[in-house]
Amino acid sequence: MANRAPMLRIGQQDLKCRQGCGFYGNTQFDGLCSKCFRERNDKQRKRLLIVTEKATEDNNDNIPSGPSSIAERRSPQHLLSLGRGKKQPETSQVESPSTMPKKKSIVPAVLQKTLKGKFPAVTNQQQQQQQQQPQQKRVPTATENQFMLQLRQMRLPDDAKHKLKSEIKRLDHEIRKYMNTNNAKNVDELSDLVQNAYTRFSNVVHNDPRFEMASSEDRDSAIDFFEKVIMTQNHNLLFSPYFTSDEESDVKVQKRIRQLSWITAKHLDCSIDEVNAEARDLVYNAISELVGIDSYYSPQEKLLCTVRCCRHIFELLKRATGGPASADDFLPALIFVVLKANPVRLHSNLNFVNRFTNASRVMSGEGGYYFTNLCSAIAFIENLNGESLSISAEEFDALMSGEQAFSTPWESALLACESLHLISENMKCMELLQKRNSMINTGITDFERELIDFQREVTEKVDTVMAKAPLTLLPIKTPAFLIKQARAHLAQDSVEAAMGHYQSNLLSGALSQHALSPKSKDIALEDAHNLTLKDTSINSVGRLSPLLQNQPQQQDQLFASPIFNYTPFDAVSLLEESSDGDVMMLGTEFQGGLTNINYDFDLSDQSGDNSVADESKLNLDEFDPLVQRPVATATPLLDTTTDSLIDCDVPGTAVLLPSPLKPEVANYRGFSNFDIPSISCNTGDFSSLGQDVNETMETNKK
Amino acid sequence: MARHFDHMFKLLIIGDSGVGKSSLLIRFSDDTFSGSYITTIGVDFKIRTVVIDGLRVKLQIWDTAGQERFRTITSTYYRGTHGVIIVYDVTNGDSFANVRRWLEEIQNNCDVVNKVLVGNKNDDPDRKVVITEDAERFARQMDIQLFETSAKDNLNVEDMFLSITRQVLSHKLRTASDEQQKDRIVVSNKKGNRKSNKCCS
Repeated sequence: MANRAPMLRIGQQDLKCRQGCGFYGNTQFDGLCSKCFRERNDKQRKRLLIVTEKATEDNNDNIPSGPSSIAERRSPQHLLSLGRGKKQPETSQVESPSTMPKKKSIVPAVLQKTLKGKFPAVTNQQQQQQQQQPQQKRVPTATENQFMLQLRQMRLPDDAKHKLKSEIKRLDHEIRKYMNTNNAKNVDELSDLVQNAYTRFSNVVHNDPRFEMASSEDRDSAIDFFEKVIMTQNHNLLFSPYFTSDEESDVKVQKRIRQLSWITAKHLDCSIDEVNAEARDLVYNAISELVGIDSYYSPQEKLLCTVRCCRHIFELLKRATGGPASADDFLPALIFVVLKANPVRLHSNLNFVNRFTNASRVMSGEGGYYFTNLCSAIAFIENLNGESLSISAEEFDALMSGEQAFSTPWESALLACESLHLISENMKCMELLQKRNSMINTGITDFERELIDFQREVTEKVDTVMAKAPLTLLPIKTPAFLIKQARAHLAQDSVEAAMGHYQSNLLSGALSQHALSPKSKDIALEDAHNLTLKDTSINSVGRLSPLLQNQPQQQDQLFASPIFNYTPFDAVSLLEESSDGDVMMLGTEFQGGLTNINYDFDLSDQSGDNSVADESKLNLDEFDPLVQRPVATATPLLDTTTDSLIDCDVPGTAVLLPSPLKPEVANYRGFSNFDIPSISCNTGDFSSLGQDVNETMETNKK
Repeated sequence: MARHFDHMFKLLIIGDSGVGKSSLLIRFSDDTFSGSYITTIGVDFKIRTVVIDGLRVKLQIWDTAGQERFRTITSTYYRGTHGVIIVYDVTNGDSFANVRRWLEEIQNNCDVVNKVLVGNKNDDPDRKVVITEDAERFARQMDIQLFETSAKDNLNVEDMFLSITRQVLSHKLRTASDEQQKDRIVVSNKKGNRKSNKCCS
């Protein structure tokens, strides 16, 4: 195919201007279009002028900053048109710096110049306009810099490096010379040219005295470098040259692979599990490496890419078969991967490597082995028929023409994979949500438990405190001056005082020094006893917890009721009320205040069936002077002042009687419900209270 | 890489699918075999250096696919091959019958190449169908050395590989003496090979 007669069929690109300007070229204009041809002629004329100028000038300057040498190097095409005789001295001049012994510091400059000279020709004549300005310095590209760095790092004697560079330049020049000749080109000739250059350079490296110092490893790397630089820099020219049919074959094989998309692993008898996600990943890796071959410039890199691809396949087969894979398994798998990858410019790449890499590289070594396999795979794909896929020829034809519908596991798995992927994504999302939900749930239960714990804790604390310090109702303590005042008051309004039982009761309670008449004293004592019993037994176990509300409350739990509308009992109110005219009303109020002894709970109690309030109400009724004995009580009251309570032996009186020594303590902690604001009267210190409690308890027992 | 070897040869293993080419290769290069397959190590690319007569010889052994349908495309493998190992299965008569075709294949792709015939899986006499006498007669007829091996029991494997290596080495040494004069011819030979291969691909 490479040897095809040039006139039989002319590709589109052969008709176009060789400058690549898009217009059609003419063979009379060296394959250029008229415009490019004119431009080129102008340039040639100018250059001719420069060269002739240069020739007359002093030629000692070896450092290639001279415009002529650059121009010379840059356009070999031009050189050819100028004639070979001219070229020879120029070339030797250019090469002289490398053959001359040089300091290492010059090395980069020399290489830079080499590349400078080389590169514009590679990128063809688009830059000719720029080249025309001779003083312009070209900034080396990244690859060029990399090569320079590599060259500098190479452990070779300097003159060996120079030799290497000159060899690179020489081959570079030869390639471009070949490419720019107008004769019918043959890629095999070009290939031979390059291969011979490799052989020649290999001989140089192994036999040249300049490389004597180098180790075999360094020699190999020098050969490697040689090939890499040449191939990278001339990739544009050598890769799929326009005079070959590489591109057509690329298109052809690509079409064929597309037609063969129905082929499954089963057809090829290969052990790739198309549905397995893990296998699929490895196939993808292999495919990406295979496709990546096209992105590298040098044959070495392309081979390395092939090796990586094949290693993925081996890895895949190792997992699929559970053991090492043999070539029997490998080749079908590789074919499968090639079919599914459908790499671009397949033939161009293979031919590029085949033609222009060191021949030994594809004939031996790992890279060669895999490359050979790859070539075989492609050959198989190109030649396969129904028989080679173990299906009938009719079926094969039907499948190829698209008449027979097909669904390969690969394609369907591709689709399934997508949806599976989506599903798994969603599953992950759901999992996350579930996790969060459970976190919230546990948080809630934790919180609930904590709440219960807290309640229990608080209740326990309260209970312990309650146990330690139960509510004790202490007898009222009336200041002495009040008693005096009251007495004086009584003395003043003795008539008024005789009006009510309560008044007298108050007096009898307040005036401890007064002796009661036996009759009234009995009543008073009875009354007082009742009250004290009730009052002192009150433990006032206020429950904080609403949870524990259902528990049976102690009978003597005291809840103040708003019904009574108690005003805090104090000396002032006592004085005021007593002096007030509305004694009946006051009497009721005072009764509570007095009998319950100075505990100013103005809290309500809605729950209290057993509340003292009711009982005290009963007491009220019982002792209501209006209802029961309006007069009877009046009479003894008159005498009450005469009798003293101190004379009485009734033990309950000790409680009833206000002790001036005892501290005035309010120990009721008023709270019954959460929604009712409680005013704590708990202002006294508990230590003293505790004592009091004990005392009162004792008295109660008695 | 420093040169750890004096010679490097490329050997090709061919034969029908399933005759144990890979097993032989693995047995030789890694010296492992466990039951029906070898764990952990795969036949990706096997290299082993052997010493023959004081010369270090690096052997590069290329495994090939033996399936019938790949037979036409395996020609590229023969490029630069120094020696070919033709394997058949002693428990499989067909594989032995196919040896003739494989030999033809070699004939078509290489000019002069060193060959060795290997009857593998020679570890179970009850299942053996290719009698040693028949194989030997055939080998004599074809002028090939015959080995009956067992990759499983590691019978004869090493000997077989060393034998082909020795053959290749002596062949190379023999031709090397002529090479001084015939250098150019060798080069042109190479070229011819490449061209023909291009036509195939």
